[in-house]
Amino acid sequence: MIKKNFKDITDEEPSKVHEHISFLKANKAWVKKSMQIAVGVLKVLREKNISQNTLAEKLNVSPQYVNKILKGNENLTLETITKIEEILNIQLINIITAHCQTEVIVPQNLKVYSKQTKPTRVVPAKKAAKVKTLNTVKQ
Amino acid sequence: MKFNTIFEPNLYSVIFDNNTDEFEKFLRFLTDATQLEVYFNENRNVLKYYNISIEDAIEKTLDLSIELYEYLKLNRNNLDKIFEPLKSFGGEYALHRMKFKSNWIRVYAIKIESKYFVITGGVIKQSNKMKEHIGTQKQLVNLSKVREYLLEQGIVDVDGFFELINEKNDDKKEF
Repeated sequence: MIKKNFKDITDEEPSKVHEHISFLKANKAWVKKSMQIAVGVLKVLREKNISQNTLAEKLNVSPQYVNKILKGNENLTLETITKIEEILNIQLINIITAHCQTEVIVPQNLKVYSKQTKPTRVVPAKKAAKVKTLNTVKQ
Repeated sequence: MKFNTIFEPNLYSVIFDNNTDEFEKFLRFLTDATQLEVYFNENRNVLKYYNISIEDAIEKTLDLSIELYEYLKLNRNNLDKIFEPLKSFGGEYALHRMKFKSNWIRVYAIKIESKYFVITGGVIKQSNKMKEHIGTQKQLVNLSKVREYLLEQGIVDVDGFFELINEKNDDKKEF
């Protein structure tokens, strides 16, 4: 075999792993949230025995798009997240109001979301009082 | 069999099929919530061992994948220091089977001389013995495939390996 110069191999195509990692590093903050949402949805799909195809039909999108969402690298819109919440009857995101002191009155027939990761403090209407809260749960 | 460059000139990865090298495949697996959710559900002993929930394990694995990439990049001139030989294959005269480990991640490679490595795949490790787990069994097969291929091509040293890659490039240019 003829010995060749190392520079002859620098035309070799680099792995596409670099693109993927650059993307993740540049977008790590929201990718983490996207993964958390994906994991939450996957958990409910598994527990309720709902297929990704069924979710796609209900969302009125392609199965390929649902597959993409559930990889956890997709920049989801609030609209998409809300639709998923409604279809699966789960809560994926809370609106957090930090450093806020507010009066919270909660109707006694509050709809309790299944599979909440953090329990919401419910204050019955009769005992309405000024409470310090960090979470405003969308009813 | 072809090879992609990961970090020149020391780190490469084998391509078995679909023009995707095994290192890229592994990192995509580590950053795919669907695949990880299936994996951790099927291998709950990893979660028990680390006392961690599926949700936290998936999030942690995303962090580990980026750290893995950066660590290999940082140590690309010292891969011999961060990869260790597979214990059950001691005594090989060349093209040693090596592994890199970080938390529950394992990356496997064939070492060509002291500095050059060809990644053959990776896995989330769950048991002490490679042979016990089907995922790591596949890694043993990958290591053997690449090693045998390189030996068949007469590659036991670095110069031979680069000549092989150059020949593959020349074949491509004809088309």
